[in-house]
Amino acid sequence: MAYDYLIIGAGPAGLQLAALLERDGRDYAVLERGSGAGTFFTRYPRHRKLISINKVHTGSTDPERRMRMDWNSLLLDDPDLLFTRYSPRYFPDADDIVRYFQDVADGLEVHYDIDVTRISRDDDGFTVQDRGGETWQAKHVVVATGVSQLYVPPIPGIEHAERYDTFDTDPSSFTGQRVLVIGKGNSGFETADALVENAAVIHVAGPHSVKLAWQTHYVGHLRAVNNNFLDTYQLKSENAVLDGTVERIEPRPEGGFRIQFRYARTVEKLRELEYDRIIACTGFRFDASIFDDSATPALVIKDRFPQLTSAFESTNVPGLYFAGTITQSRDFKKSTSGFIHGFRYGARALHRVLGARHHDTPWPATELELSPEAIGDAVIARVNTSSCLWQQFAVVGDVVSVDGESARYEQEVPVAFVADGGLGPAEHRFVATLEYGPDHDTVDPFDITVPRVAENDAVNAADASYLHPVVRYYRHGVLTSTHHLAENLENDWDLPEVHQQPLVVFVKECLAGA
Amino acid sequence: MSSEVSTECLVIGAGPAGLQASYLLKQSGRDHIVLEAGAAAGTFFTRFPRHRQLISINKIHTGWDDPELNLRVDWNSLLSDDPDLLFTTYTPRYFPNADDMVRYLGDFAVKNDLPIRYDTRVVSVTRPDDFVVRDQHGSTYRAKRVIVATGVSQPHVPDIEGAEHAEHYYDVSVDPQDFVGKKVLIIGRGNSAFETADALVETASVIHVAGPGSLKLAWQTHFVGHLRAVNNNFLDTYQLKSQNAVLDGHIAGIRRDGDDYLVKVSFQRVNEVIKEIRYDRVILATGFRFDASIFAEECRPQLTIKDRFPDQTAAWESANVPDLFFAGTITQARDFKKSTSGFIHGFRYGVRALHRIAEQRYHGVDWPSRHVAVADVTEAVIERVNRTSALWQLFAFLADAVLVAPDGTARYVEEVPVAHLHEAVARGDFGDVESYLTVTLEYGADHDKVNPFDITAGRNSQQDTSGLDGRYLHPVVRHFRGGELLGEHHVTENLENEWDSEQVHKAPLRAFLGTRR
Repeated sequence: MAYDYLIIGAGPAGLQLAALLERDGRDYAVLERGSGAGTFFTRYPRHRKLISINKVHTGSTDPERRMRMDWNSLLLDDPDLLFTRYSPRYFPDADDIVRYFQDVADGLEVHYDIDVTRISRDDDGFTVQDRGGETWQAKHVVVATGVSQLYVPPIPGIEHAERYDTFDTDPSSFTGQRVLVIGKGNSGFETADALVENAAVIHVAGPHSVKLAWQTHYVGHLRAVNNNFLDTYQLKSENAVLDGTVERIEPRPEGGFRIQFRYARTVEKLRELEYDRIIACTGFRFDASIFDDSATPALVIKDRFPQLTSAFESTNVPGLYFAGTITQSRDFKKSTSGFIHGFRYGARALHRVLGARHHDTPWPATELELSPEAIGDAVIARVNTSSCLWQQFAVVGDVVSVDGESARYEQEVPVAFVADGGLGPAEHRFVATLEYGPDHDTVDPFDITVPRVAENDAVNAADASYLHPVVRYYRHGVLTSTHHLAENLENDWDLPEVHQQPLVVFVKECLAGA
Repeated sequence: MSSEVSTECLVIGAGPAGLQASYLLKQSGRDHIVLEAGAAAGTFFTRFPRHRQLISINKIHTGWDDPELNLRVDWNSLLSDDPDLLFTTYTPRYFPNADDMVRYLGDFAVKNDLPIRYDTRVVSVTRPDDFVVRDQHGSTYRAKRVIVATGVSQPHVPDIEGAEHAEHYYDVSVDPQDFVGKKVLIIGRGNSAFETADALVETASVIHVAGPGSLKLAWQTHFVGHLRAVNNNFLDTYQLKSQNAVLDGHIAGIRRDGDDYLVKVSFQRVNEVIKEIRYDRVILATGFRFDASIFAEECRPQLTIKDRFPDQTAAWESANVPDLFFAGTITQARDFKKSTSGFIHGFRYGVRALHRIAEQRYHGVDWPSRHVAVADVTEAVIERVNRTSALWQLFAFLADAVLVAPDGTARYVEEVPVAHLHEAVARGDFGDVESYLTVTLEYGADHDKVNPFDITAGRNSQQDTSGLDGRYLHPVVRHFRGGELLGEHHVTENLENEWDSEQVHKAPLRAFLGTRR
């Protein structure tokens, strides 16, 4: 017999969705290749320090607000199942998150040691085969397998390089060596920093500018906790960041490697450089090899991720959904769908999409009094507490829909899903998000010569570059007007004159058709 | 108990600079005494940095055999002939524990048998004729010259109304458990401020770090006293929205309100809007200053830079008290927020240069020099810039010089402070000099204004032979006559800092020198 849902993968996204399906009594099973939940984290990050923050002491007792500072917990009803109970460390050890996921999985329908080898689709739904020869049937499949494959860039000779996924992380084997790390992301710099005490020379190479998360607000860019290496370059300690592309790698007869390198910022010809070791830290990709022709999802971004609709469904395989880090193709290098603190809300949104599509459960909504004050107050209350809008900035919003004499408030809807008509038509619709200002990522946040809009400046709020609430008004689905709430140092957007009253005026004008 | 001792030179302070000075004096056979207030050498490092992690790098595996090259990436060792007295043998940590520094400095004092009197706190320095230094026991020491190497022993308290209510980096608790759930303001934006903030990230609920001016990152300014990457984790906790913040502004006042503090912050980027913010704890991490209180009026050195450091000549002599010299971190007044005189890896060479200056002035010993054939100058310069640690560390501050006599013969001298060289040549301290070359390592003009990681900012090719300015550290050769700059040549920057290519480095330099005759 066929399950309603088969979830492939018992990592954080698979568990998040399974917990919601379990709560609602749905028919589902999770198939997990490993012998426990969260297998990815038994190996990654290789140096075992998570850079997803775990702020235990927030000064707040509101569980929703506390989730803003807790980037590791899943969305569960049990207050004991918060990751903050598992470690006091701001940057936790990956072993703690494995322990946490195993506790979360307890009570869910997870089948371990099931290695899915083939997914096919016909008119009756999906057939999933595992390595043990067993066959599983489902109406819908949710792929939450993460980015399980190393992305290997097309460099001639790249096969000579060691790989981030398999190299020996013990720094002692690098003592006195010249090491090239290919890749300028967190894994590249994490790897380089771990070798600083042992290697003689470390070069980190990649074609693009190093992007700092503190400037771009994209947490997948280089994090401060991993940026120590940059000082070892600029303060002249034998290491360097090379801006350019590795064009070829070849072994030297006497051992080690010679590479050809093309600088991005000078007109110089190819340069030859020599190393004892080369490590490729060039990112990961989704493994699409398990799908047969009947169910192969289209891929995007150098074929690293599946292409998704705004409902997290494959653009070309109906009934095939995605959850977890692979949904980052929706907000690539912008927001947080690639990370637990973002995709936990994405998985909850997917659960609501599935409820609406297959279980006659419309998106949860509360009725609002139809008045600008009631609408304004509801939005103000939410932007001051919501963790979802905070984490999934610009990607997920709260929605107020007005038709005739009724107003309803729907929480945490992907903005693109609203735009695609996922909530149906409405005469008036307000979508509230939290957003950074345009071009926030091109401004050095620590340069005081860059003027800043004063906090609580309602008049110039539209120019704010730090995170602040934005309310967009759509009439019959067409964006008609946009309102920015003034930014605030403490992120308290609840001052009557600064935040509440201007928003009410905005809502009133929109409803009046002004 | 009291006694009186006379000596040629008194050194006050047995920290790294005092020990370095004493080592060199002893090598030259000069009679001297070091007076140290603490019970052992390096007392400062028994307390600072408060969180015990030194940020002066200790790179053990360099791939080099040359001890001079190794010193480029060993920022903690003092200069000595004993290869066992290298800090790199004391710990494998890139950022060492300060206790290892204390142990190292103690061994340096003992193994070199330096004439240090411990538990000897100088309470006054007078100058009836020679200097007369009195300690807390009433003993006195007389000397013709004094080297003050007391470091920055006092906290610098900025002029803020209500500053007395704040705690100090100097003695605030370093146990993060004392800050659980607290809202904390740290005033200051140097490494001590961010070191303190980062240590509280796991326990405080809210941390603000406040101070005027743009935040300066060492990786951009190349000044190692600016915020170091190892201490900058806090910046992410602000920009990635984790309740903490960096406030760009002046503190306009601190007052108590019950158990809380109310602090007025004047925000610089928004027209000095003033906001009063409530905190549970307020900590001043606003730097240190030199303590001039021991000096009597007739020999009290003038101060500079908000009265934080003694005002000094190019020879590190007090600007107003002859024969009173300074060594160590207080000599940062000479290259404030530019080069490395404030740090061991810089001032160890400063102290050696001071020693050579004093040898010349008080003992008639010429600055060490060697003859160099004019035709060999390029090779001599190239050989030095590829090895020297002194020019590398004290970039733009120390120079090698080629001194050309009226008869056309040339001498090569090493590691002279650039400012002193001009004065000394003019005075004739280096004999008859018709013209001279300086050789320095320097970053390019405005190097501190460019984001080094922005690839849209162009860079010179490493094959460039134009002789024009580069951005990263590179050798610069200047030609002077009578203090006037006649010409300037830049040797092209190189990824590996190997300036030894005939085509790219040597030939253009040779051509430049050829035009200088």
